[in-house]
Amino acid sequence: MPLIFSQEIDFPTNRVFDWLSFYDADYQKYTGLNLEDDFTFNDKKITISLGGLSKKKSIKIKDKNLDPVNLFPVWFRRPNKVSNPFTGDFEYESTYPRNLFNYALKQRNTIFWDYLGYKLESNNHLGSFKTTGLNKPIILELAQQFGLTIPSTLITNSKDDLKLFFETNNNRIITKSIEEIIIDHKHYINDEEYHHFYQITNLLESLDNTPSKFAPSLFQEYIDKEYEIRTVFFNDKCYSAAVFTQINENTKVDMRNRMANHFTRYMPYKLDAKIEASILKLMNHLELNFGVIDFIKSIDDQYYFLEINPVGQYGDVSLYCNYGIHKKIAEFLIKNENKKQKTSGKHS
Amino acid sequence: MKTKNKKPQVSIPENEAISFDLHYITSVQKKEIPREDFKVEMNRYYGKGMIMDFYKNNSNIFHDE
Repeated sequence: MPLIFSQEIDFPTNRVFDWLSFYDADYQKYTGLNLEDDFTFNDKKITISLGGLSKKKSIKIKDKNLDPVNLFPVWFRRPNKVSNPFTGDFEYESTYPRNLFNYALKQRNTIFWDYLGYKLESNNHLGSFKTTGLNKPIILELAQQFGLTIPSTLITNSKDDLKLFFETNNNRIITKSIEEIIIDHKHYINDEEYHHFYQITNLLESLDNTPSKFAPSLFQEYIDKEYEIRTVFFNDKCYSAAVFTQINENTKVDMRNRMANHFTRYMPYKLDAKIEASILKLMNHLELNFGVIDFIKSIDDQYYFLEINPVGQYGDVSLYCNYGIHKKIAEFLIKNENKKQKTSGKHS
Repeated sequence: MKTKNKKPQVSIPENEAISFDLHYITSVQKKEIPREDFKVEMNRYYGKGMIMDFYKNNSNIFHDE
């Protein structure tokens, strides 16, 4: 049965669960540590063997009743490597400090967790266990190498070079994180009100009152958009949507900056065949069979590649453009399970 | 993770170890939407066909007891 790594609140995962239920397909999910979760590896017995003269390799996974469990194929939707799946609450009394003991536990469990991900990934799978985030500058370089146009980009910790870049780009540049954006945070003032901390891409139209000292940071030219394009790459196909971000003032620089109840208009979109071919080459190079890719279509008819999110949200594109990607993912998982069973029998 | 009670503060120092973008963290004051109101709101979209399958038994977002 399919095993799905995700997070408790990830809308697209739940839509795929719905479709798996629709098809009466069993599945197991790992959504990180929480009490309501019906699957953690702690309730499984896992045995992996390898080596010796016979070089025989095997992986056995059994449930609470010691019945074999077949956990293939795997969908690494949002594998949460930060959580610690093997430790629970336990009393600890020792003069060896608890934090050091916890560190030792985490290190050991991480090695096993990574190895298990590596083993599960060797079978039919969707997404990637090891790739939950990509190195943005490397991806930009690779995208260019595979024929995509990228915005003029600067990575620097020099204010002088930043000023020069700013002037060269008509005094309009953007600052965005070189890595992922910060994790959202709610700071409660009282029971009803809170401050929501988050990060979006920002437009800089002046460098006055900006930091003079900073770590190496990413800057890009500001591109006047006609619209944005969000492409969901799944199983070698591109499902694209034109996102009309320029209609709403809030979403002009960053489409994530939308107000609740103010929907951004989406339309199904077909990218140029050359661009789709470049995406395919890039994703094959990265060994990714799933990713959400953002483009800008500029007012001067250029397509600029922005980034790939290997665990990105795709529900908006699927729903508004009627692509049925949740259904396709569920069918992919069922089909690959059947294929595997036909060719090599049980895996537990 | 949630924090409470302390006065909210976004004061990022200028430092060679802190990247430029982290000086642009956004903070917006919001009101918590009561869960029941949220359900009513979602039902409104559900009625419009914009969200089609929020309350299916298998979804682990809402469980109607």
